Amino acid sequence: MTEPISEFDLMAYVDDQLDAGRRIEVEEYLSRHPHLAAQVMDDLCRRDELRLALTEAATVTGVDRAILPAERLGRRLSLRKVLHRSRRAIAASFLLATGWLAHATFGGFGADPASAAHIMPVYADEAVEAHRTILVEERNALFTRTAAAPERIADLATGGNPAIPLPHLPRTFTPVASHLVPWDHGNAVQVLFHNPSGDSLTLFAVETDSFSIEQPYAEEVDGVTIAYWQSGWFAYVLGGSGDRDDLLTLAVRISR
Amino acid sequence: MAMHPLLKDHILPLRRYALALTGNSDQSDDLVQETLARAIEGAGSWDPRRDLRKWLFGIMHNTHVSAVRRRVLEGEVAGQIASLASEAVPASQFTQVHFSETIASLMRLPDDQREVMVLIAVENFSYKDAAELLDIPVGTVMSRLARAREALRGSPATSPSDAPAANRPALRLVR
Repeated sequence: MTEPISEFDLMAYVDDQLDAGRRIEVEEYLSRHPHLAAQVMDDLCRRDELRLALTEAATVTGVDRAILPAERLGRRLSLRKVLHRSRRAIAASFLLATGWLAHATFGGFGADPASAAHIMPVYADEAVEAHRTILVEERNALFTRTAAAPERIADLATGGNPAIPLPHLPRTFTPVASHLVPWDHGNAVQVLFHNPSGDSLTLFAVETDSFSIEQPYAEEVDGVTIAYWQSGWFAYVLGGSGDRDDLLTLAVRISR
Repeated sequence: MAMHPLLKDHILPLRRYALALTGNSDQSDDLVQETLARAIEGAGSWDPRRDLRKWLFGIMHNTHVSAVRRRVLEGEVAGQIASLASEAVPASQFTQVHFSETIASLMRLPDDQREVMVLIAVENFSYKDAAELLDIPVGTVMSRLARAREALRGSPATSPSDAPAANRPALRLVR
């Protein structure tokens, strides 16, 4: 004997939470109770409207600031999948972690300038990746000019205490878009500029976990010219495609 | 750049949930950002056998709860209700008014009812998964959902607390 149909069954029917057998029982019951059937239809209708309306509202948003972090999260999660596949892979993840730690300790935060002369800091590596990503996005028109001021993003990056201070580029550089870029140690601010010739240049700014003053240093990484420096708790990277010395000059100028 | 296959299907649902939670498109945009940032931070502890969508929604929920707590502490509780309805819906459509009404009635629900309504009716989570990600009993999920439905059925003027509880048979857990 089947269980009597309850209000719960009707609700679960609307929410598609019943197995096929119970669903058929509910439908038979509804065919004998048109008043309840009408109410279930009404609930189904409201559910569909809600889906449509929210989807519409969620799609309308202009600047897609989710693309960059979603890309990044996707890569991390893929890596987790790969690492999860075998015991050997798990052992490898320890090696990776150790390697990363060594890199972070000696090459990144709190780098000893004497022993690790110009081993690129981790944040510069992140800046290069973010620079390349935003250029691809720009080429493919994946974002429109952002309404958010770079300072607002800088405020968001640290939850406002204190905001990452952004150096001022010469007025001839036009800010085009600003993004929050999640990275291993919190959030970075990335601002895309156009120089007077229309070339793209990015400024990447992060809060670090060690206080240091490092003069700008420029190098070329994977086809991206970067100049990076640290000023107290904050580190900065300029990225572009132009001449190394030009970028270094600009970095020196704005780092003061 | 093509969105990563693991994630591309989750961004729109996260946006929808963020809109329902915040009722404001700027704040929802920030919430999506912060959720992804926290997910990136926590990616190292993600177990690929776990349900990615549920994991992300759980992060979004917790992020929202702590953001609200922060805002309450800072004394700037947003007067946000239903502003969404006018700002986020495309103009010049027959459906516009209707969509606005639908969203406005959703935003009038109390926070806890709105959450379960969106997770289950819009995002199709099971009662059990919704309960787990909200960290509440399944029975609570169902009673909130029932109250939300009642409120949406009624006229906009009817407050959910006015709904006559006595007319409703007690909910029973089938399995």
